[in-house]
Amino acid sequence: MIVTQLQFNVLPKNIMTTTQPTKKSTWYYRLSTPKFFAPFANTVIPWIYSISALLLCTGLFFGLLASPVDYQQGNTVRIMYIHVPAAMLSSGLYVFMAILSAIFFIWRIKLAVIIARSTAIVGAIMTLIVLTTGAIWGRPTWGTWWEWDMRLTSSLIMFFLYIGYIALDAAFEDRAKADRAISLLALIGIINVPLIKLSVYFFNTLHQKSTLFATGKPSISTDMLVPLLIMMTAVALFCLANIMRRTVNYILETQLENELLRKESNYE
Amino acid sequence: MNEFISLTYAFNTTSEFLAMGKHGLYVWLSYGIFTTCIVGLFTSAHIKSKMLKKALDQLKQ
Repeated sequence: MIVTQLQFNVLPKNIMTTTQPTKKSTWYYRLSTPKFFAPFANTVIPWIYSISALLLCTGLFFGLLASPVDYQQGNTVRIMYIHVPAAMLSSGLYVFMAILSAIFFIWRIKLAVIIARSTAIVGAIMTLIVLTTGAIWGRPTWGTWWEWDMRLTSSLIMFFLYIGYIALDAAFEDRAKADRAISLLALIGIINVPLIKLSVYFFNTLHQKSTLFATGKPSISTDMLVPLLIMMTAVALFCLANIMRRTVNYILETQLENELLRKESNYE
Repeated sequence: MNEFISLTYAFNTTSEFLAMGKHGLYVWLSYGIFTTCIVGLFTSAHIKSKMLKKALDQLKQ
């Protein structure tokens, strides 16, 4: 008895786990498996949410109260502190989603699609914030709620891409087929991202050009730049935690389905 | 302390703050939509997580 146990311990680990060679057991490989991702996410999510809430309070305090009034736009400039972070995340999350889809196609990591699916929902809501706050900001400053110009139209296309991704995901019965279809859609839709970014330079549009990434240094007052950067970090962290929470939810959902299937087969 | 952090508020009274110049409706509507979206994202994910964990616990019993 003791001898067999000893022999068991002496055996190299990769003999026991043939599917996971030791060469691949680096931290990022382990993190790419749901088994390790879920507990990791569960520990970090509350922390990220807390930091985000703290920054959000600070950002809102400065944005709404302690930042100067714009000499042309008056107080409507305060919409910037939510419009710009949401806009950055709307495009940023799409790029993130497309990268995850590429990772899924190249390395067949299923967790990548699960994270991408969670990202789509958060990205869609961010795009919704951009479109609505943009329209509300446009009314007093441009004199119109909506104009069919390049910046606004490409942002609307971005929203439809997110909605299309979510709808396509829900339309398939077969999970493997759905994963391939939505990942392909995410990769094709990436051409819209540079279109949004460059639309203000190449087309005649009502929307102003970039002030943060203007040539040289940001052409914005520091009093406004600081709350804007705080808000950007806060919303980005919130999205990160929310995407992680949704990803863990998908993992739990699959676990639940598997448990149910196992119970059913036991009855038979 | 005030020497290091000099806060200059854009408004003197609460009613001024709520009025936001003459753009109160636009600003507060935007922030209302933003808050609703953020709270909605948070609670929907949170509630679902709670439900799934409860269902899994019940199954394992």
